[in-house]
Amino acid sequence: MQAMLSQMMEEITSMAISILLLFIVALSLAAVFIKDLLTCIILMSAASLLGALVFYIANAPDVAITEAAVGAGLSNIAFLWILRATKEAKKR
Amino acid sequence: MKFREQAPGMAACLIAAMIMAPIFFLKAPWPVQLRDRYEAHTIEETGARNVVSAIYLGYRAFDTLGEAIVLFIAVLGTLHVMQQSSSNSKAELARWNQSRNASNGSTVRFITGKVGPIILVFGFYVMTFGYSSPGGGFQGGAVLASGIIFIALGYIRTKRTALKQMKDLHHIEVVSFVLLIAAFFSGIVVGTGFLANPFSHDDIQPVVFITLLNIIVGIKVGASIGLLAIAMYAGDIHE
Repeated sequence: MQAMLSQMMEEITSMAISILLLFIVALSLAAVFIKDLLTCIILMSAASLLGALVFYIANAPDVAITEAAVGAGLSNIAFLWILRATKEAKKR
Repeated sequence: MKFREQAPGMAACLIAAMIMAPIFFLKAPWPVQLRDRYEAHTIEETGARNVVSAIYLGYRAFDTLGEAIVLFIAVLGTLHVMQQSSSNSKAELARWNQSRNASNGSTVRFITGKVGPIILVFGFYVMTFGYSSPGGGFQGGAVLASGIIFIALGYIRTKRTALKQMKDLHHIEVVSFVLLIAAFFSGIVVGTGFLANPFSHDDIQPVVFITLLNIIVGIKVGASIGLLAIAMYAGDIHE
C-alpha cells in the first residue's frame, strides 16, 4: 500500500514537471518570435517563474529561491530599465 | 511573417536544441559517489544541515572567492564609467531631475518606504538561516538587492543623491569584501589552513563559520547588485 502510494506520487510529480516544462518551452518560443519587446520581457519573466516552480517540485528549493529572485525579479527590472533608456534615447 | 526576420530566432532555437539533445537522450547513469559522500559527511565536517551551503562555503570556498572578485570588478567598472559621465552639463542634469521627478510620485514613495524594509528583513532571514533551511548568502543577497532597489525607486530624486547612495553602497561592499578575505585567511592564523574553518578544533560550533560567511557574502552581493541597478536607473544615455 505504502509503496503503491509513493509510486503514484512519483508519477504525478514527473507528469507535473513535464507539463510545466512544456509551458516553459512554449513561453520561451513566444518570447523569441514576438516582435513587441515589452511582451517578450513579461513572457521571459513568466518562464522563469515556472522554472522556479519546477525546481521546487524537484526538491531543489535553494535553486528555486535564486531563480525566483534573480530570474523573475532582478533581470526583468534590468531589462525594463534598459527598454526605457533606449526609448528615451530614441526620442531625443 | 518574413523568413529573414525570423531567421535569427530559428537559428538560436536550433543551436539550443542541438546542445540540449545529448542531455535528454543520455542513457548512462549519473555519477553518485560525490553525492553520497556529501550526504554522509557534511554535518560532522561543517555542521551545516543545508548541503548546498556546506559545498559553496566549505568544500568549494575557493570558487566563492572567485565569484566575489568577479562581482567586485564589475562594480568597480560601473563606478568608473559613472564617475566619468557624471560631469555633464547643467541643462542635462536639470532635464534628468525633471523627468525623474515626474515619474515617481508620493504614492510610490509611500508604498516603497513601507514594503522595502520588510524585504530587507526577509533577506537577512534567508542569509542567517541559510545553514539549515533553503537559501544562503547569494539568495539572501539577491533579496536584499531587490529591497534596496525598492527603496531607491521612491527616494532617488536627483542625480546627486543617486551618486551619493552609490558611494555608500560601494563602501559597504568594500568593507564586506575585506571581511570576507579576512575570514578566508583566518584559518591560517589558527592553524587549519587557507579557506579552512578556524572553529573546527574549538568548542565553538563549526556552524558559526558558515553563518558568518553567509552573512558577509549576502551583504556584499546585495550591495553590489543594488549598486549596479541604481547605476542603471540613474545612468543617462550619452550620444
